[in-house]
Amino acid sequence: MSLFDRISIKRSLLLIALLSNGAGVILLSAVLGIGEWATYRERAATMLTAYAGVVAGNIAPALLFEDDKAAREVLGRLIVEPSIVHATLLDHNGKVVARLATGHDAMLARPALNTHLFMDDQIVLAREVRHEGDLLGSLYLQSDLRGAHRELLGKLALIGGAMSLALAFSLFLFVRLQRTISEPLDDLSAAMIRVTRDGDYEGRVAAGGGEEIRALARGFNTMLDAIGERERTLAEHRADLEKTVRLRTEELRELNSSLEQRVREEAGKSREKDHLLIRQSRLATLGEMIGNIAHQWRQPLNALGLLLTNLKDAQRFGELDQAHVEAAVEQGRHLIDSMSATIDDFRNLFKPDRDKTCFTVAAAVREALSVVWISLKNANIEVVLESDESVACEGFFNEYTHVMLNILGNARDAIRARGIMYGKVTIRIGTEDGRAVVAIRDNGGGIPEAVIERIFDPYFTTRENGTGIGLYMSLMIIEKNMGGAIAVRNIDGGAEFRILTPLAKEIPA
Amino acid sequence: MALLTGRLPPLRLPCGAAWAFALVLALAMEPAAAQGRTVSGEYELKAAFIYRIAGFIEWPRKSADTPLRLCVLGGNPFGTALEALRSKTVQGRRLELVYPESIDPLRDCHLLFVSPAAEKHLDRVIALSRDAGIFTIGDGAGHARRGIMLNFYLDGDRVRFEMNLEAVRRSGLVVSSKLLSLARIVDASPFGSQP
Repeated sequence: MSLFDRISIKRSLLLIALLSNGAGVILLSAVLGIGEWATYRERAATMLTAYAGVVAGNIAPALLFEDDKAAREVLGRLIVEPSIVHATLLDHNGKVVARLATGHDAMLARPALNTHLFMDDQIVLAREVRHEGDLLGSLYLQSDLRGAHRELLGKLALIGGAMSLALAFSLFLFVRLQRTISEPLDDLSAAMIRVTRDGDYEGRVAAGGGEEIRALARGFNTMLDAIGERERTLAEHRADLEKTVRLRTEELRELNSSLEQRVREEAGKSREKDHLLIRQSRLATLGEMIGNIAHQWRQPLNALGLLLTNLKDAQRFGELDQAHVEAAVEQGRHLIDSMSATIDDFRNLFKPDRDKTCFTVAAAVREALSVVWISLKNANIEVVLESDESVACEGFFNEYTHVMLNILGNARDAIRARGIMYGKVTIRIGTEDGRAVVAIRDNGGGIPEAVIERIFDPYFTTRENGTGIGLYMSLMIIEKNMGGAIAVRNIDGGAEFRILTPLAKEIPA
Repeated sequence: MALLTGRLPPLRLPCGAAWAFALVLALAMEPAAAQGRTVSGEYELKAAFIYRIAGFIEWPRKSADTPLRLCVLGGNPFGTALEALRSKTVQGRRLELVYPESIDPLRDCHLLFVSPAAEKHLDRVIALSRDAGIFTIGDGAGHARRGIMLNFYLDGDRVRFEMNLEAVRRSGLVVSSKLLSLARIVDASPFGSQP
């Protein structure tokens, strides 16, 4: 970083002017001074030679006509030149014709004709005097250089003074004139600071100074105009944008709220529909349940009838004593309790679950089996349960049991429909990928490949009196309510349903 | 050099005081010349002077190939001194010596020396030489005053000359100021010199 980068343009200009002018003045003074110093002796010699030439020319006729008086007169006129301290005119014989001595009585030396020599601060010159080629005599002049020396010093002082004055004046002029350059630049710089510091795009720069600075100022102003215009446009755009955004946000919020409303409505509708479906499904199974109850009640009812007949026979044969009656009552109450428990079982099964609970999968499977085991037995279907009692899942127990009931019922119907003599249902309980899995296999011949994709669709059924709700309900319960999965595939001689549900976080008591 | 030339004294124009002194001196010397006093080698010097004087005169018709004719009227007082000039040239022109017997051939002369012996013809010579481009040289007291352009006289033992500027002016010749500066100037008018 040079000195000029650190100081202002104003000072730079001043410094440049000072350096350049100063250098110029010093150089010029030096050249002039050295020139004067180097040549003043030679100039003195040249001057003396010129004097000698003039005197020799004027004095030649006097020598020619041997007029000593005239010669002295001519020589005497040299007295007007104070630096000449001695002059001697000799004729061609070497005789002194005239002599002028103002400072020195005798010549310091006698140089050869038409030459000069310097002796200390004196210069001595010899000049021949001729007329039309004839040598008439010789002229000797001696000049004192001290005067020239003083004159030289005076001249050097004058040069120095004049140069200093010129430098001072040029600097004065420069200081006055450089304002035309530096002031517009200052203005420009101040405007730039206003713009960058305050963000004031409204101020303008006066277009003064040189052509380039005016162009700069004009360019700057144009730039400010453009920036100001752009700022305004941007502000307008921003305002527009904000307005639009507010508007859109409002619209979106409205849309959102109406959407939520609709979602709520739709969800409600869907829920209603599900409820309806569940109810339909329950109603459908209710009949089956009643049939099951009827099956279960037939044996205790027969037993009760038999008990009543026994009581009557005992009374007829006089065997009805206290112990007999109490045993019969005890037996009858036991049967009634059993029947009551059966009803409780079914009632519990059809009570909808309020909350998710933890339960072991085996318990749910047994619950389902307890409901259907009589109908399975009647159909001569063997049930094999490979149970892992520790597997527990989280969800709705009754609904889960309901799913089991559906699948077991379907298996029974399939086996019965195909007229298979030895039906077999295998239930395997385990875990898979961190989920509880129940696999229910039957040997009912499997599901036709053409419809296997559609068996979970609502109202799809292959049976004449089927509702098409059972498997759809099962799907809804497992996948929607419990976050699990249900799948079906055909295996050798039958079908396999796999029900996967999340494992319980804690083991149920 | 401009500074130097400004200081140069006007060498070619002597001051008035010098002229007045020269005139007084001339008047004082006249009687001595009139006495016909001679100095040794006087005419040898005068012959040399005549030759030298010729170098300061400019004739109107300048023809380098024609000789410059020096006529001596009224006998030859120079002896053999003039003969030494025969081989010399003036301003590139050969010098020719003529000793005319009569007045008439004088018209062809460039320089005419009227010796003291021909003083009786002086007025005729002056009349003839007027406007003829002849530079007349006299050798007798008062000749210049009578109309001769340059006249020798003796200042002590030195040969000097005086000049009649009016005669020179009338002749149409141009005479170098250097010659004039050495001469004593006489005036035809009885009222003294003319600057």
